[in-house]
Amino acid sequence: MMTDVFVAKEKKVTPSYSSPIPPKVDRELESEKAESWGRRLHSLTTLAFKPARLHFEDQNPDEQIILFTRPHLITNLKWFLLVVLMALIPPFAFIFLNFGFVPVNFRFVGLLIWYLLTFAFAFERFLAWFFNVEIVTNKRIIDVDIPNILFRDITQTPLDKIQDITTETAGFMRSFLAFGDVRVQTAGTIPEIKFEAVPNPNKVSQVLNDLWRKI
Amino acid sequence: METVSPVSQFLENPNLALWLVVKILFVIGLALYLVFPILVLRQIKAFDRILGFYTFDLPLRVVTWVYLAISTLAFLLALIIL
Repeated sequence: MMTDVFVAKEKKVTPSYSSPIPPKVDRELESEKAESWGRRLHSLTTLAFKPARLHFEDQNPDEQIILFTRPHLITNLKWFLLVVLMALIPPFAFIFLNFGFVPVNFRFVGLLIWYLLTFAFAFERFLAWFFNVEIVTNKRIIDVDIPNILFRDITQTPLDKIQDITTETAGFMRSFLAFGDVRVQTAGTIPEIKFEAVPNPNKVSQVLNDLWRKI
Repeated sequence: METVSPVSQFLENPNLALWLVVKILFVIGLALYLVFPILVLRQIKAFDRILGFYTFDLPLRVVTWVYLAISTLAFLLALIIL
């Protein structure tokens, strides 16, 4: 019996994935996000993955909210410090300036007006932050802004109109606290949707990329 | 007995007239100020309806109602004590 001089090696069959990222990774990411970002919404929530109970007016029955974002809480620091300064002005003014010529009742109402104006300023800035939200569903992105109390701006774009997603984290504070902008370029009438100063911008962009890939 | 009319009182004492002007300005200012919390309430209501924010904005609604109450009290106080 002749022995084989050359035996062809058996070909190893390697599994091929049609999508660039195996599904296992997606599942890990999802559980990580749900765990670390939370699903419950409260007044100061800045980032929530698949938030529970939130439901908007023209939401379709098969539409699921994937992401809820707001600017990082620290973005309120500037106006907050200004409000503290404004609140401290009257006590110092009464110590260093002579208001003896002003009747007591006028002094009292003047002080009341000053603090009402300070509160109005603080409240207006807080509301601008509170209502500056982005909601991402499995079908579209909704961007809500109120630049001031008299103006309301709600824009939305379908996910299939997305052309490019970029993240930007610039500056000491943003790098230190891990927040930044996520810009979504679209092919629609609205050229760009900006997720302003959101926490974890890389992960937010990852979620958007995942949704975009699925379409 | 001679009665002093408010007009002649102001003419005699210009300082008093000045405070009357300040009083009118304060009261008008506080009346206009009342519009602000009402506008805020309307915005909150709109966001509740359009985006379903009622699920988490209860503290904000409470603060706004308290704010409206304080603004109204400030207006009434200015009317009474000035």
